Amino acid sequence: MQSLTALDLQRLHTAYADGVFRYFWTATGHVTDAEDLVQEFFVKLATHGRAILTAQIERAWIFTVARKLTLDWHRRHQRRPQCDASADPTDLILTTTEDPDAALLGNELLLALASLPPDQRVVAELRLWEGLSLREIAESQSIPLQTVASRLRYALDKLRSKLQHLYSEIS
Amino acid sequence: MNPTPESDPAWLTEGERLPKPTLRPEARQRSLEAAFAALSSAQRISYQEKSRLRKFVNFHTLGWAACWITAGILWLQSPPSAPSSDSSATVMGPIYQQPMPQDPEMAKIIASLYPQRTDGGGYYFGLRY
Repeated sequence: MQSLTALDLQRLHTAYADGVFRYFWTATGHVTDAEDLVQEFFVKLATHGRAILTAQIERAWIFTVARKLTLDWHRRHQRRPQCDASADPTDLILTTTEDPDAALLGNELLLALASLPPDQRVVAELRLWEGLSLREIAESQSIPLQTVASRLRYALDKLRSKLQHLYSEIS
Repeated sequence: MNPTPESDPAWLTEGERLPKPTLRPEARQRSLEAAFAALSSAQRISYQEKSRLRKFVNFHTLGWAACWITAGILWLQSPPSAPSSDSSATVMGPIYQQPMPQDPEMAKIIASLYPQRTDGGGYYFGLRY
């Protein structure tokens, strides 16, 4: 079986480092834990990541591995995901933009996402920020498609109510 | 009716376009270095395992080859065996056959010890051939 090369690893890191960081942040609620998990994720990818070369949907595979690492993290910390009611958005660095409205919206979206329950937060993050389809989310998170749709609907309803004033301005 | 995020795909597009949280540069560098270190370590271990396997195979191949060659040489050098089992008794019998001792007591003891082997005025030490 073909093994992962340094070039593959570099490409995967460039493509997914931010995405998996955002995922880990939404799943754990802590920036430093998310950074540690990103490092653990890429170490795991480097040592056992040959399967990604044959994965049909690369990003779904990436977030499947990320979900497993998150479960391990929760087990290590003997914490259930539901216990983290809200995520801590402090210390997060947003991508820079010259558009002040976009920066404001981005920050508001971040705060609104941080206040969601973890299950809905993860689904919303994968849909809004990573652009995964509902089917990809269902596959990567090992949950039924209907559950994904339901969680996304609840999450978007809450986001809409929190961001309604800003959304009205941009629509 | 207000447009909802689900009914308006632009809402999702907008969400994707908005600035997103990113990994801090130092954390990015740290994770990349750790990944490369792990990759080189994994490659080294993989190479060592292959090397160990090759040595194992070579050792056993050579060992078995040496065994078979030795066995072949011994077989070629060994003397031809006797043509039949009867002739072995004829050949070997006189060699092992001992005269009965002169002492009658001892002869009686030997006769009791080897009742089947005291024919012909001698005994055979209980050997079968």
